[in-house]
Amino acid sequence: MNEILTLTLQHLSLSLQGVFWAVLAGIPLGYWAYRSPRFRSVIFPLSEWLQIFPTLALLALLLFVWGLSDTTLIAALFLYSLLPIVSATHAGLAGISPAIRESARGLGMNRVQFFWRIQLPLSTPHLLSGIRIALVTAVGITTVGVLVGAGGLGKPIWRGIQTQNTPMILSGALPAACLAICIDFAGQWLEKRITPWRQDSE
Amino acid sequence: MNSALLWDAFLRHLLLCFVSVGLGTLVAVSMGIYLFNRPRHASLWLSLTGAIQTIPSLALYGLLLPVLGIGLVPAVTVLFFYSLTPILRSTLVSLRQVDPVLTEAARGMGMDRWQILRRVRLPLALAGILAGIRLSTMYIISWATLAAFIGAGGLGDLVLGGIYNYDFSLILAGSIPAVLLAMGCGYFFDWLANKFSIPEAPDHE
Amino acid sequence: MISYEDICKSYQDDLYAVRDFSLAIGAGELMAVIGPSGCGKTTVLKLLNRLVEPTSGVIRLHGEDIRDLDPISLRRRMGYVIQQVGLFPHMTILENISVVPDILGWPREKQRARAVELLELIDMDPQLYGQRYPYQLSGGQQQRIGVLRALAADPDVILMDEPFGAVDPLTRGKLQQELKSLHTRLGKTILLVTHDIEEAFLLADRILLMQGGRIVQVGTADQLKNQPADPYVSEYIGSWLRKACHE
Repeated sequence: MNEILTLTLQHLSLSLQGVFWAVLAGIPLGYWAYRSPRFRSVIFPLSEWLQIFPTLALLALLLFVWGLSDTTLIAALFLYSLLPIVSATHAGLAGISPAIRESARGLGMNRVQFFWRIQLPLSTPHLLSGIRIALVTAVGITTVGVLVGAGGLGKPIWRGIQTQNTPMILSGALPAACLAICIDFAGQWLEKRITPWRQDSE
Repeated sequence: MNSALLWDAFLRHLLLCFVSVGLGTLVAVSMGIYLFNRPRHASLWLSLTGAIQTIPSLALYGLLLPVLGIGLVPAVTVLFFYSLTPILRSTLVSLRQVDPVLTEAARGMGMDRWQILRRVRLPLALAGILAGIRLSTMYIISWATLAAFIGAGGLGDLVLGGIYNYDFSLILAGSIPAVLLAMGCGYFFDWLANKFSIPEAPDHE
Repeated sequence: MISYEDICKSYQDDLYAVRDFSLAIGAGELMAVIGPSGCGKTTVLKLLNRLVEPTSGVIRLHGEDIRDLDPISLRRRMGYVIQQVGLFPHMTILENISVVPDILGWPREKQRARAVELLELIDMDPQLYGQRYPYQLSGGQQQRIGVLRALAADPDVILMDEPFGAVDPLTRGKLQQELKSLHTRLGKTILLVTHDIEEAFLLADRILLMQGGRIVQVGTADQLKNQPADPYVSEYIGSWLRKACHE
């Protein structure tokens, strides 16, 4: 029981780390994509193709860079979480109606004020949604992380499959499934709580 | 490297994807047709399939192992479940988005529910539905590599082999065909959607 | 107080949005700018708060060339109301009204007091509406909040671009009456762009009719009616006049 808890926390921690770095890089990239159509035409196809690239293969390729370690997994998580974050940031910014932009400008907001007071708050629901999706996906990828030497709930699952040991499989699979579902639900609940106002011009 | 091995894995992979997405399309589109004008039931089923989607694939394989064992059958089952959500969602959205003016006109002409569905809604929704199938296909091609974990074969076998033997070329042999296959399917569906989309007058904005 | 001196605005070599435009607006005056679509009336408005910059000519506010002023602080000294309102959906009504005072650094208490004062000015109960969000208000109510938002920092000049165009005729009438009463009470200088001739006649001290980027006539409603400077004037307001006479 104790071990399962440790593994679950480890699993969660790894997933969070990967998504964290993706958020750090993804928001500025998303903002840049919003401002520059040329960059947009580069980053969107790129991250879409990253998404399609088989998870296992990407992990395997990264193995040759960082070897059997947590870092390999986190690097893969970072790359996979980029698209949801960049896309969400861009959608959030692009969803702000021109009327809002014009009145903010006309009233005398400068770029910085416009970003902090209007763009960021109005993009938050999209962003939260993107982070939620990235995190759930990350939990999924982390289960495979055992193959590249990372910790997490993948260990008992993998070991159990190899030895056809059902209780062992379940000891990893059940918490992993619960973790993913809980994060999804908690995320959706949070999104609703944080936006007491309705979205404009969707 | 044994090219027969590669070819075998590739065919296996195709089989996995084709069967699971094929079944998924059949089921999800039928569900979509049944549910699109029953919003509450629709969101229930969407939540259910969505919930399955959030479960990590390895965990799902693990959970079904005691029931379905290892090999092709559980792999196809799991991939089938994963293929549902994008197709169901796009079917629902596309059917609902059909211009009500057109369905009104059809009703006025004396068509019954089924005829409206067959002659008006489905043709107009087809492009959107195909987009969902496209998305699902591309994801399944990628996720089918994990089926190697439960002995179902496919390109994932090569990747796994590459990991165990620290063989870079083996990993590439497993992943590049998958990416190319996904790309190919992407273009195929784009072409298909183009054939079925309704030509539109340019916007007067 | 405000003067446009030989203003021209062109976008490409020969495409003039505004041409040979000279106008003086007095303090406390409500000037309505009317004219057909594309006549340049919105451009004239946006030239004043520098959302658009002139190709040639000078605009003065209190004698100063507005190009010598920082555009951002210039805009904070003016109110700006547009047709789609653009209330910020994530802010409460009180927060929306207080946006400019907040940017200007007014203390919280003063912001709140000002917003409450303005709501009471148009008989909207601050207790009832203050904490609501824009989506909870009707279109007409949102428009009124948009006007209050423009008034919050107590600017001398208010710019309005077809503010009541998106509302139904009944509500529009009420909003117009309210604006008239606000103008009388507060004495602000208002530049109002509208396609509604009746609105112009009702509210304006003077009316400016434009066509093809140029001024056709500036004057009181009576002057436009009885001393048209050009047959176009009678033609433009003629159809409305005939309708009004028959009622």
